[in-house]
Amino acid sequence: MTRRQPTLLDLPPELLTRIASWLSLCEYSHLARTCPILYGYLFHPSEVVHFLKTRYRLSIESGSLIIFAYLANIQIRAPRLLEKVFDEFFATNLALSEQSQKEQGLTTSRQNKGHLKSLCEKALDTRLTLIADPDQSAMQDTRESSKILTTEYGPCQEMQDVKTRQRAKRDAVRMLGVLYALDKTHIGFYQCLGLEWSDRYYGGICRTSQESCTGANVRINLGHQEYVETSTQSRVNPQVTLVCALALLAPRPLNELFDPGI
Amino acid sequence: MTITLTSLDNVEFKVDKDVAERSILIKNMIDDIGETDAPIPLPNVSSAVLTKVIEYCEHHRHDPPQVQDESDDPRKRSNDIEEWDMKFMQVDQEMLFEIILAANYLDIKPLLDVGCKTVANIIKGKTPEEIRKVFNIVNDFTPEEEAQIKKENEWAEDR
Repeated sequence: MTRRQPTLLDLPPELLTRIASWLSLCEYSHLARTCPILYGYLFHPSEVVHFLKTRYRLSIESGSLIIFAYLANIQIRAPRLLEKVFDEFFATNLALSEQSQKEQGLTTSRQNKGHLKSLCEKALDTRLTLIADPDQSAMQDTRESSKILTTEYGPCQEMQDVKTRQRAKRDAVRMLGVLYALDKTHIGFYQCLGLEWSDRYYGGICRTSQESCTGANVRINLGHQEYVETSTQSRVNPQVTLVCALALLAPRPLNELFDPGI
Repeated sequence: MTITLTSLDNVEFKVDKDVAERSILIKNMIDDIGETDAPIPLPNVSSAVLTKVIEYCEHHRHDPPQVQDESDDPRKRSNDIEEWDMKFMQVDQEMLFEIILAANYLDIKPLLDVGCKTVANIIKGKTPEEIRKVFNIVNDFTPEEEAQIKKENEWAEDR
């Protein structure tokens, strides 16, 4: 009794996943590009996310996967992958948020629905304003906008239905696009918004008294730990930018969402 | 105590219990049915492959037992293969894949890992075209599709 000799393509998917887990992202991509069968399996968004999680220990919970997606400009270069990342982000955070609510018995409100969209739009408007009129008055408008945003934009504690989650996901995808554009134009998201808010529950994000658009300190207070970013250039660390943005997006406390070490 | 294993092509192998129990599948079967003289059929493994698998299990018979839920550490490198294992895996490609399939079926995680690392090492540092050549993969992409996919994958390759 004889059988056909197996080849790489005869291996079951779980074994291909196992083999791929020993490859770098570049090698993984090379393997995927060899034929439609491997490409269809290895570059399915779920499989890529799984690969990034297992091979590079990126995670939704720590935010590292989103930061990776942002730095790789996934929103432009692999939008379906970003969709999958945010599917997991909102699913994970919804689950954790619900668990947190059960444990703490917190009462929640829906007051923040729809604010993500306005945040993105205002950030875009701000960017356009800055391009057109990059003087002090434009920055002043920006700071006023940001005060409104940061005052109104509290924690999204309740995201009960799929529709809300989908909307939040769409807005988050847009947010990443905006952030990337701002970073690439050497503006910086937090500088653009002039963030000056603090919240003991979320951990405060504060700016020093320096009013200049170039050179600023950002301190992110993560409870008992602090992440301090000092920039002497016009462009801040994009990771800090993203953390600031996601602090606004996050339906749960920042200090639970992000690893302090990022 | 010895256990009798019967391969796909009806060849019988007598092995020590502790050698056979490197396979979690066989270990569970023995635990379930109790000690018996009846041969254990392995209908998915040919005698040639089973010979290699037994050789591996005999060499590693004194290794600490594998932990079922042990999470793989991705930071480990694929080139951390023991010298004996590396020589053991110097077989033709068909046999390599047969060993991997058998290790998966028999649930011998260390052997599965060595097999997967060996394949990964073959892939490392090669272009898609070189990988196709090594594994005899037919390129079914049209030139347009290939160019499109290459462009789509740039984010993964320029890092």
